Amino acid sequence: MRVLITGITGFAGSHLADFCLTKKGVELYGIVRWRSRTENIEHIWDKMKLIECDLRDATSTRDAIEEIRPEYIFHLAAQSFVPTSWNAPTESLVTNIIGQLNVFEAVRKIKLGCRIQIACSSEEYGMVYPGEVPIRETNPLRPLSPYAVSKVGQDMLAYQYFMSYRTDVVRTRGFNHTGPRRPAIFVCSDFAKQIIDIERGVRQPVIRVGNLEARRDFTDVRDIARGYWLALEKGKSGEVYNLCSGTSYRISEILDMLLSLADVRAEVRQDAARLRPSDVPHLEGSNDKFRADTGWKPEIPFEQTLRDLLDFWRNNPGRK
Amino acid sequence: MRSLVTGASGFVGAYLVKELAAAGHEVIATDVVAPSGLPGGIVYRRCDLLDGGAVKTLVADVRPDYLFHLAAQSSAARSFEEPRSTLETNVFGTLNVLESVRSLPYACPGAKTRSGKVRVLSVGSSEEYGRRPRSAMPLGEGSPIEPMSPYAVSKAAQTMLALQYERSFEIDVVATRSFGHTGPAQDVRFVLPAFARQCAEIRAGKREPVVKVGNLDVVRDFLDVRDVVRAYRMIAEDASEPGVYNVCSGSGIELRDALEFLVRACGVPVRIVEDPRLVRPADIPVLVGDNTRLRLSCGWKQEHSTEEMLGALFEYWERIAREM
Repeated sequence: MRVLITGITGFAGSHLADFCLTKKGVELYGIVRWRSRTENIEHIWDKMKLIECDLRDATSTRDAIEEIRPEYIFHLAAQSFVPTSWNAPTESLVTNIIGQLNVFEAVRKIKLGCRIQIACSSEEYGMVYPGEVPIRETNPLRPLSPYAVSKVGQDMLAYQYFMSYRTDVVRTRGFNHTGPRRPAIFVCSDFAKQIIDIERGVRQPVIRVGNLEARRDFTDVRDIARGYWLALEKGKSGEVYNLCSGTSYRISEILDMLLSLADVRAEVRQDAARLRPSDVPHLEGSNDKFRADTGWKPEIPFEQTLRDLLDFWRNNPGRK
Repeated sequence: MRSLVTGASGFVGAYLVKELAAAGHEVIATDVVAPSGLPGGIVYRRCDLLDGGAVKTLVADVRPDYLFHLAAQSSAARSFEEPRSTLETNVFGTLNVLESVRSLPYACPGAKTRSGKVRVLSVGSSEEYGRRPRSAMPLGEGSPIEPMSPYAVSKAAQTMLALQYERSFEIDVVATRSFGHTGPAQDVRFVLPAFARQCAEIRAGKREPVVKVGNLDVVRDFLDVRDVVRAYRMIAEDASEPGVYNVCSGSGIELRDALEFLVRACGVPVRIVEDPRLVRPADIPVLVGDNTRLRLSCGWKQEHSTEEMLGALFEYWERIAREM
């Protein structure tokens, strides 16, 4: 089976590539941009084929998909960092919405009978009121960043292509996920890297933090990758599924867990630059629908995820 | 009060410019093509909303109190052929408008509006709601968003973006979800002008007595464009809460009945033929809105009946047909 992962060089994409390679008979393809960073996939370099393509370019996208003719497409390529979307909203919207439109139009015009998974986001729910937790797929969407708006756009576009053309698409709204290879611009990884830098003696024992009060539903990225696979193997066409553990942690709790796992003592200092213009106080999802349709459940305990994250920074101190 | 109107050369834009001028606003009209027949005293400034820098310059120069954002690729049918440019025009055009207002130094406070902030009115569409069961009518603003065309996706994203800027920044935004509307000068790619033109041309003897139609068993909520632009002005001036406002009559009319009215006005027996090119994929059978919020928070009420609306439309096309 030919499987294409867009965004294969990214955090979730590289873990999904690892997962796909455990499946018998998978012929794995990835789309990369010229000068994409490849450190996340160097360990599987000879086990997949990379095609150079920029999804923002319709012709480039169509050529790549025509060449690969995949049966499964995991569409993970995105501008995925919320703060960047504040500085460069147009860029975020173009990459995420137009990039996906180009994938859909290519599949439609080539008349390719493939399943497409769309990586949507819990950020779409945005402003969630206390009575709405745990969040179900039917909750209203009240996005709080241009990134979140771009993901709503992707979500709506996928629904529309299913309704208009029966494009075989399954949407997953991934909640927070972390694990090895997570860039240090994301909260858990940021803390873990600071802690390891302190452990290594290259940083003063001061940890800089943003909003510690926020509560987020975290899942191990390897459970998420398996979820993406199950979404295409067992998910219903046209449906949208929350992909989450169903358990939320306060960011301060995660910091405490990381500090105690690493046995590091440090002063915690709030840094205004790490605060967002608007932030969601509490995100916790219900995964009932996804469990019922695919049998998925999270398997890696969160403490193990954090341990592995710390080990990742111990073994890769030079990474960003 | 100074008002900047984007899409001022469009069908609704032209009516809104007149409505605002009559209500004492100083109006600056913008579009990519100059409007024809601007009332005296209204300034036209050309601007391509996809050029973020140009939009910033325009808004900073004009210093509006109200910004009515009407510019859009507004045809759902065309959006199936041109999804990319539809999304770009509607979403990125709106983004540039919101960004330009966000960067205004006087945006908050200092504007001559109720809140002291510049108020942006973003025009969305009932198509954002998509296909809902008959039992769900009339649709309130809290109904699910399930777009069925690239146009509807673009409008859903536009509304989401406008509301996100309202939540995240000190920007005052009201977003409409406008249901069907028509009136003289609306493009014939829209259904009622298409019917009215054919009927008028048949009456004038300029066409075979055959009316080509798409799905006729579709129920839509239509307002006369004059009621729509008055609603836009009143939402901008009077709505005390930001958020979404349905702009609609609150009752549905079957397209078959609208056609029958126009055929009666035609006064000649006609044959009605379904044209497969006019039938959209995944059409929406019923779309009727609840206008309670608009009525209660702005004091708006419908002033032109469906019959008046269709009558004005027929007269307009009859005049044109006679001059053919």
